Amino acid sequence: MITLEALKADAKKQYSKIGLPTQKWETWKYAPLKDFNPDKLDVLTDSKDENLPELNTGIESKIIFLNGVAIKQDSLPTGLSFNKLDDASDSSKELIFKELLKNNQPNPFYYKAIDTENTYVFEISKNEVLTTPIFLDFQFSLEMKNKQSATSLYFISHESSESVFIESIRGLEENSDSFVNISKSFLVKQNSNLSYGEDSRASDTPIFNSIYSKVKRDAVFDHFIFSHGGPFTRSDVLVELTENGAHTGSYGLFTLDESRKSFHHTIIDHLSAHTTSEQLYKGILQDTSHGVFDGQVLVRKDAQKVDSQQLNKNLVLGKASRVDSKPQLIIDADDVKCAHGSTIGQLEEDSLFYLQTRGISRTKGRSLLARAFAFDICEKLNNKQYRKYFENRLKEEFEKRDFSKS
Amino acid sequence: MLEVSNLKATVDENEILRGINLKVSKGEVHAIMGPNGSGKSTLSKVIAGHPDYDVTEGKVEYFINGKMTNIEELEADERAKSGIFLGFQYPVEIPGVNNSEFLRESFNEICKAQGVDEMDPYDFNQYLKTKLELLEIDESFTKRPVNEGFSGGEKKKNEILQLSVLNPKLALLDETDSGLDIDALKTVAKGVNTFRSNHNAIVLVTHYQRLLDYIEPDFVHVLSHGKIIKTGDKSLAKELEAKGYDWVIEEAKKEGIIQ
Repeated sequence: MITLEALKADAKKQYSKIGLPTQKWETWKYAPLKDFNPDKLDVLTDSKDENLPELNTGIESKIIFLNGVAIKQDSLPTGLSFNKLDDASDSSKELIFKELLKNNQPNPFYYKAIDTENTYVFEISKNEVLTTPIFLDFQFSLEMKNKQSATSLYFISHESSESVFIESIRGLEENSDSFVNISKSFLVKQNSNLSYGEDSRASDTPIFNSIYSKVKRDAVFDHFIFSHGGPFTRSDVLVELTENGAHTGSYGLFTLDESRKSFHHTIIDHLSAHTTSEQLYKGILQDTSHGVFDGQVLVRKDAQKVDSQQLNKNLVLGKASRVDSKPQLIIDADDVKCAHGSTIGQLEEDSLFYLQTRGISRTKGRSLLARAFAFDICEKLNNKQYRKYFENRLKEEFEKRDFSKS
Repeated sequence: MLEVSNLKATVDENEILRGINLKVSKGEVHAIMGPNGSGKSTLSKVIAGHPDYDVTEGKVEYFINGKMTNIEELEADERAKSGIFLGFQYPVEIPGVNNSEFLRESFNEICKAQGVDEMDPYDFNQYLKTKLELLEIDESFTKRPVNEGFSGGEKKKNEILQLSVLNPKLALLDETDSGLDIDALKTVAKGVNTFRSNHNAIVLVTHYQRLLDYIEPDFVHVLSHGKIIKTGDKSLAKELEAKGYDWVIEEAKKEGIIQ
């Protein structure tokens, strides 16, 4: 019988093989852990705090996680089942074991998150089209001090189903000695479509988010991360397009100020012919913030007719801000279409003057141009409510932000 | 309304304007002509407040709150809010900002500064519609990002649309006619002529006499070597078209206006 214990044992084994990343690792050279050792923080298992006031998102279906533990669910649609791993059906557990155990994850903390009690399984039934998003409200309380929270989520999107999930992380002020780790694994089965959005609201806690997704024939997996708060955010995305017709879109926006750091590492692995991918990551940096986009597109031998696009655009507003951009293509097939690019720029003096002559002050102009730079990322979000959610969030965060400082 | 006295200005320590004198009153249209590199565009940018230019001598005075005021200390947006408009030779593309939202934002900023009520999107769209009809511009124009992917003619039309929406007191139009075909030129001229009234003034910076067939100036100035070397009426423009600038420059040298 497949159990959580077995899953944990596998994760433990994988982690012990890899261990804590050091700066010598190619994908960790920009993001040294330095003195921060997540292994030394205990995992928070039992939480007594009240949950935070509800967010007004306009989304009805939601699950509340308090310090990493699911405590409440509301209006979940019938086509969706949500269980702790041990309560999931045998067939789903088997699928997880067969399809989603993966060696050599780029982010070892992916395994740390699995090695916990907080392991949940989402399943979207065959042919079910969930037209409105499911909101995953991750709340963290002050109990998190000197603790770490780890949660592992498995998604099985059955044939021809459609679903959208929005993960929000909030409530971590004054919790700098803690660490949040959420790992997600997706099995996106034939002809199904799953979108996953991540919204890390302002916080003082390092966040490690990993995504591993396996996309089957004619299926679509889309991911978007909006990273703006937190001293340190690391996002790892590994998508395997395993069968013909599979597509993935990977999108990100990081708007950073002060000394915040946000690192985005993606690997899109085209394992089969006629698979397509699109990546667009945008960064806006102020003060001494630091952003990284490190994206790899792999096209395997015989994966012909692959079409892949990868673009990273950065707007650097601060004199002391830093951005590292590393778009990479590794192609072993000969009949493919791959484009990649990267831009790093500042606000154009001419544009600011143009706006000024139309009565828009430099301060307002900077904010307007920064918004204009960022907002088209929302066009990539296909579901209407999903897009609306992030449009509102972007607006909210941009209104708070002072773009006049450099 | 505008008085420029002995204005000298530099950019990156190169002196471009070497003592400009120009007086513009309400209801007047002034054309400023001159060879390439004479400082025509610089003059309009300095009046509009471009931060890259340093005024080293002289002053620009403009009528604000009932009196002529030295505007040296005013930022470009403050000048815009007091009614100075600059139509760009090369309008800037602003991807991601919708044209009509941009117009409304700009319009409301200026209203706010002048103590007039702002317009909500509905009222503004109605107001915008009348302007679009006037300039025979399709409504889809306003849904596109500001100037992005616009042809040269469309960009200039957009400048004139902004002019008619913002309805400034002083319009500085920097080579708004350059590169336009005759139909676009007529549209631009129509917009400017409709805007023209006894309450405002227009300064046309242009390279070509052709524009002045459609917008009749009260004064024509020749700008060369950073100075206004000759002023006349519209017949001067015709003469320049026929004979070029050399004779005016020679004359000015003889008179010792320039070296």
